[in-house]
Amino acid sequence: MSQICRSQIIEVLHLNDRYSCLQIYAPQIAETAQAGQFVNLQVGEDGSIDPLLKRPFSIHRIDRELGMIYLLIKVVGVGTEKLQKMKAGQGLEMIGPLGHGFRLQNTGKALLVAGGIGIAPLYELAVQLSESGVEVTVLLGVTDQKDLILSTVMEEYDPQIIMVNPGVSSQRKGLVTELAAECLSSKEYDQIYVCGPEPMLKALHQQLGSNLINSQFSLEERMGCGVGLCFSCVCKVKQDDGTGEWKHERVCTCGPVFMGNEVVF
Amino acid sequence: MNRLSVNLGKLQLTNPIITASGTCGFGYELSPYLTTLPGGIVLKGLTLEERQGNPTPRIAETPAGILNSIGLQNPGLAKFKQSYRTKIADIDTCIIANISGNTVEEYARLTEELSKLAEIDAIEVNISCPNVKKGGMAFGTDPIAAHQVVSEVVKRSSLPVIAKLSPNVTDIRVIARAVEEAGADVISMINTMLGMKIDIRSGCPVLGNIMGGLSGPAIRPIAIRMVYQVAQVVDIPIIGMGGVRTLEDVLEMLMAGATAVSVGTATMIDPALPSRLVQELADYCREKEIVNLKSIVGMALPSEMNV
Ligand SMILES: Cc1cc2nc3c(=O)[nH]c(=O)nc-3n(C[C@H](O)[C@H](O)[C@H](O)COP(=O)(O)OP(=O)(O)OC[C@H]3O[C@@H](n4cnc5c(N)ncnc54)[C@H](O)[C@@H]3O)c2cc1C
Ligand SMILES: Cc1cc2nc3c(=O)[nH]c(=O)nc-3n(C[C@H](O)[C@H](O)[C@H](O)COP(=O)(O)O)c2cc1C
Ligand code: FES
Repeated sequence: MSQICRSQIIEVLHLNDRYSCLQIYAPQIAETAQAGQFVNLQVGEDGSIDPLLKRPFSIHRIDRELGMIYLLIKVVGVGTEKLQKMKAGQGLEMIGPLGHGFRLQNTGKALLVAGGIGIAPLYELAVQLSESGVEVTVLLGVTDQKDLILSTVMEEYDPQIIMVNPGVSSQRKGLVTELAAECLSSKEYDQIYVCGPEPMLKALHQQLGSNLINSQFSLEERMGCGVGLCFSCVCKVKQDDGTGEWKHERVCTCGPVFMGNEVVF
Repeated sequence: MNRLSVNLGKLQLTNPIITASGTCGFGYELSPYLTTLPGGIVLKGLTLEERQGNPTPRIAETPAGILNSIGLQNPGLAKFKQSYRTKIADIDTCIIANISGNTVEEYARLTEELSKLAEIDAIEVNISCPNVKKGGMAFGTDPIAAHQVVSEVVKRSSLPVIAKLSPNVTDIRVIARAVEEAGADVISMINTMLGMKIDIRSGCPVLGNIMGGLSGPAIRPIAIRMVYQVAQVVDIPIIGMGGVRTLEDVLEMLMAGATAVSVGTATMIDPALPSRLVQELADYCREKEIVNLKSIVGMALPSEMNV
């Protein structure tokens, strides 16, 4: 069950001017949070009119013992800029944990495919999968040099990296879908997890074929409330009646993680 | 004696705080966050047939407000009866259904069917949705069409009928009088104001449906003005809404002439807000020794109106 709580920033780690990692003391949320769930947090002061809405962020890491959660933030606008400038000790109002996270299996091999900031929820997933003995392979597609910092976040899982605009010739140029295709043709994976921008999700979705049934996609959509009240955040999923027709489902309550064979792009 | 209780015509509420349609789902999504129940919960707009609504993005932030273009996504009457009504059955407050249609007959059929359900206590007729092509706001911007829809709903309803007005008109008093004459028990106002936002980086409209309805603090002065105007020309009670977020905003809306006050956008930001407003209003009344809210309703109206 999600809760509205006042949490406290313990540390803001500036990875570079584009990315930051927030360590937050929120024991009620840490206690029940699952990999793939998110929180909706207030970025302005209490009663703020600009920005008005809370902002959704994936739970990047969970430390139940210490009651901590970690968020990995990419600065894209007013709200994320404010977050990046926050200081240790400041309070944050948030609601969480929200949505349905990843459904983990405890055996076999897992392929985790991230596009950019899509790496955020995959860290906690990788931790939990490897703790239960699953062999984890991480693929990360990024745009440029600044994004490379995201690989350090995943260092212990030795991510394979591909870049749209590489700066040096030793770096591989291309899209993460190419890496995924190579991995899938050389090895069998029992579980595939994907998170990233929509064009990447769509391309991978088309490419997965018979692997779709073992795949899970974490989706992003512009949100209003984050808790199912407003129907702002919908995506297309297959109707349950087998007609092949789609319907709109709320990403915040039915997702953000959907099975590959249920989501429609 | 509950000093917060109010009468909306035949409808009695334990307190004057209501959650606005489209911002509290079908009630069950919100109720876990509510420690004190608001006097009423208005469900997401229902139509006869299921609707998938508009393409995304459906929401955009604007100064002190939001634009939405949901487009009345809802399960339709049949699925609502089958799988949703049980979920609201044990929410112990006034449950108000909000209905929309393409034709007068669709409004009438929905009314008949919903009147039969024990879970529903009143019907709010949405003649003011800016986000659908047919019906919706088209009925709410023409006094003759508004009269026609509301009188048909009143005829077929065994429950109190609330007419929800659109602010997208030149003179809202004309529409208000039309729905009162058609037999509406209550008027609720305002729905969202039609607006638009453009992403200057791409040069494209931000919303998938291009235009959307503006809500939130940005529209509060407009809502206050319209409630104040309508309170002077009708005798039926008004549910005031538009940008309400604090106890001060609730009081302002009551003083403008509203008997009850709905919160919409503010509930989306803080789902516990409706409960807090009920408690704060109770504290305020105790402190100011107000035994009946009637003593502040319409306080700002010209003195001959202030009865
Ligand atoms: C379930 C979910 C999980 C997310 N997890 C993370 C995360 O772990 N780390 C992270 O950095 N970001 C995450 N996001 C995206 C994040 O919510 C947005 O980047 C943020 O809300 C932008 O706020 P802003 O005020 O800085 O931007 P704004 O000034 O509001 O907008 C700037 C631009 O950001 C984009 N944007 C705004 N809101 C969203 C949104 N909800 N989804 C996608 N794009 C948006 C738009 O293109 C917009 O033009 C997640 C989004 C969702 C829905
Ligand atoms: C996301 C959203 C969905 C809405 N859906 C409906 C609806 O289905 N029917 C309706 O009558 N009004 C709908 N409204 C209008 C609200 O009920 C309310 O009239 C309006 O938002 C003004 O109040 P506020 O500023 O407190 O939000 C919706 C508003 C929002 C923000
Ligand atoms: S964001 Fe409001 S329903 Fe999902």
